[in-house]
Amino acid sequence: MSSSAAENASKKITLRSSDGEVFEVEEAVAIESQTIKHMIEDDCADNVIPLPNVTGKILSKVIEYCKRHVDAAASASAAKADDKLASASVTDDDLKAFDADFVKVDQATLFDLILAANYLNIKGLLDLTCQTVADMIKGKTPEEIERHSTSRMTSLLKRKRKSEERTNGLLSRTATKIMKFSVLSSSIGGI
Amino acid sequence: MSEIGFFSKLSDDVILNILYNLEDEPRNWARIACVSTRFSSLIRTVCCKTKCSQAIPAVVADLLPSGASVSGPPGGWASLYKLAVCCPGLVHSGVLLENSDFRIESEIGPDEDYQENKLLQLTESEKIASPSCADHESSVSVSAREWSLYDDLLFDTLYNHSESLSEKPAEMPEFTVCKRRKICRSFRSHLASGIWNLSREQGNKLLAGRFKGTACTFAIGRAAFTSRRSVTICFLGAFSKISSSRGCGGRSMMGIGTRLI
Repeated sequence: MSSSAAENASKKITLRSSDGEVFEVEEAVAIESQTIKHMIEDDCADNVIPLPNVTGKILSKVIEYCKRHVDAAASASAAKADDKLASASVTDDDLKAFDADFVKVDQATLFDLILAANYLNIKGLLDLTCQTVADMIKGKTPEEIERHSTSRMTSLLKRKRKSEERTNGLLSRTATKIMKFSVLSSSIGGI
Repeated sequence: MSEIGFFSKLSDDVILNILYNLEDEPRNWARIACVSTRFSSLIRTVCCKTKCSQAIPAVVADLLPSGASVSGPPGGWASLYKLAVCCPGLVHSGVLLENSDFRIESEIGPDEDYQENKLLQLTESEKIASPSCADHESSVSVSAREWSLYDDLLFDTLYNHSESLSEKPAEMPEFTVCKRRKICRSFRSHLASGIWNLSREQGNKLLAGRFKGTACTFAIGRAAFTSRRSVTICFLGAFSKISSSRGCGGRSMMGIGTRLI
């Protein structure tokens, strides 16, 4: 049993992101993701597990999260086995601090993390990121929620469209006035 | 309103996961429902249904006809959720059980069961109200600065204690449904402190202590719930109290509650 546990701990799993980036992780870290765990159990992945829905940047963050939580769980169980409750609580506090810092990212990255956690089926990460979004929404007016949830590119496009409408409106009004003036001038000249 | 930005990439179950993190305060859902049609649809159907089924399963079971697949109670899940938030414990609070006659018999006929249970409920509410009054006052003073949905409600449905002898109407509030009204401005929270769990005991402790013997200021869509006698009694009782008070007219306030959140 212990030899197989050691074997599992040292067994490496290779993950490939959508942009071709390859990550080698321990199996214990990889199976934090239920999706990957099922793939391994069903023997679907031979050498490399492709993750077409996750970019390399996001996958590296997800791996960092999983690794930290696996290490924390191992430390906590070791501390409890040695009856060291104080060190177990310190580990919990460290983990909470890590989680709090982990989600201090820009909105695009946060939403990509949600998508990745949902695809990879990592409950802890999904709950953490969803709670973060919920905390962002709390207390905000609908206008603020809409403003905050729109990407910078989308808001720039909206502003561009609105300015074009204003410009087109101004141009068309100016053109109308010029036409009227020219019609009037020609009619006066005709007289 | 069309789908926006980042949320458009998320599936419904993920958005529901986010919304359930906001269920402790009803105004969060109300605000998010205003952001997009997708949020509104999810909140009005799934979220309200889940919350009502968890918080008031007996009422849900009473309102839904058995044996048929239905979309929800009359008026929809959102209406039921609003009622559960605004009226957490009317029946148990003893507020509406002061008088036996709410002109209900003329509306829907006599209720022998009600007559039998009335005494028992009055006794229970008095017992609960009197010892909890002191606790209630202290809890209310502690929670004076917390948000209360009841404060929103007071802008629409009004009863004025201090101006009870004056006949001239007070200043018009922001939402003017009644043409003549007096403003009730109670600055303390009328609702229990702590996280909302729609427990009837919350309404019991607060409504009984605070509104016992006074005109009830609820105005709830009565039309939505006509199937169960007990629910009907509550709403009719509220209106009767209002009409007999020095505040607004009773029946004319029926429509206000539907637009509170």
